[in-house]
Amino acid sequence: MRRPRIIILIIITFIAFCANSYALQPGSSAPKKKASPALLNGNFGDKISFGNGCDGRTDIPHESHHVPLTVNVTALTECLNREVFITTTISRHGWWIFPDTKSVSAQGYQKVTVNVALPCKWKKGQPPILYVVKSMHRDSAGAQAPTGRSELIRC
Amino acid sequence: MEIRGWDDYPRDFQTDFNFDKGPKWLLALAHTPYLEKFAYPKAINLGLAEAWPRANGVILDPTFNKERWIIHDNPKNDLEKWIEGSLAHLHTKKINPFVRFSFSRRSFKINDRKIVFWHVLPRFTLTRYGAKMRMRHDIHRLNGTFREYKQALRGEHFDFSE
Repeated sequence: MRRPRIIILIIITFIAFCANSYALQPGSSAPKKKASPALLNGNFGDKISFGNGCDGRTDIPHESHHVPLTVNVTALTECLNREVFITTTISRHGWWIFPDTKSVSAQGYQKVTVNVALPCKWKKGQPPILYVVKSMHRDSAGAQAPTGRSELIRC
Repeated sequence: MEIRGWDDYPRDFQTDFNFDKGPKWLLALAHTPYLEKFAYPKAINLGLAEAWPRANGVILDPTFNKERWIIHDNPKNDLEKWIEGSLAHLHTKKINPFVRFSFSRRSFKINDRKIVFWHVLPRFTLTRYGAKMRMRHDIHRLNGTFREYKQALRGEHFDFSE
């Protein structure tokens, strides 16, 4: 009786490990491809804007301090002298194929910010709830980029 | 009972667990469904758990047990945000259509609050750590920055302004 369980556990572990390891894990032994010298140029750790100053960002979803029992996230698109667009979706993952979700789109000149909120359904004693945020940023010149992040929240 | 790092972490802080920098068995444990939760306290003990305040001025809850955690004083900088996929440079690069087709998320709306997400390639993950890494990889693939992402993880510097 115990043996089949162990075999199933080993198979699940193997599948999960393979499924997650086809892409590089941070710091793992990456294929040693020699980078182009043109790309090894300075430290960008504190740079405010990459490239031509046209960025999209998604902030951390967090418990709202203004509206109690709400999880809130801010996202923005910023481009100099251009019309910019953003669509941000926040979803709360319970049953994974039917997450509660809310999506907000906006557009503006040079900078557009959206604020999206979902009610927080966490109750004391429960494990934290995973909130996933994804944004699509675009500008009038046709440039685009997705951003996203996820966070476990108790409120 | 709460498990450190799994369901007990600092409020208003974002956390990262660097399982990749620890022993291989710990990385394997973090990728093991159900048993993954036991990898988190071990990672904290090995100094692989980091926490950043959500915003400047956020103070750590004094009741939080911060022993062996690496607590940063300031939020993540732009490079760290770019690596995690929450900051991106808008681009007009031509992304391989196969990559775009395979990794883009599609959705069906059921009603105002419910939605079904699907991908061409199966994107289900069975662990918390796996889901986080997969999301990062998908974002970098869709932005055409996966190579730079790998460079950044190896500690190399690069220039986006070219």
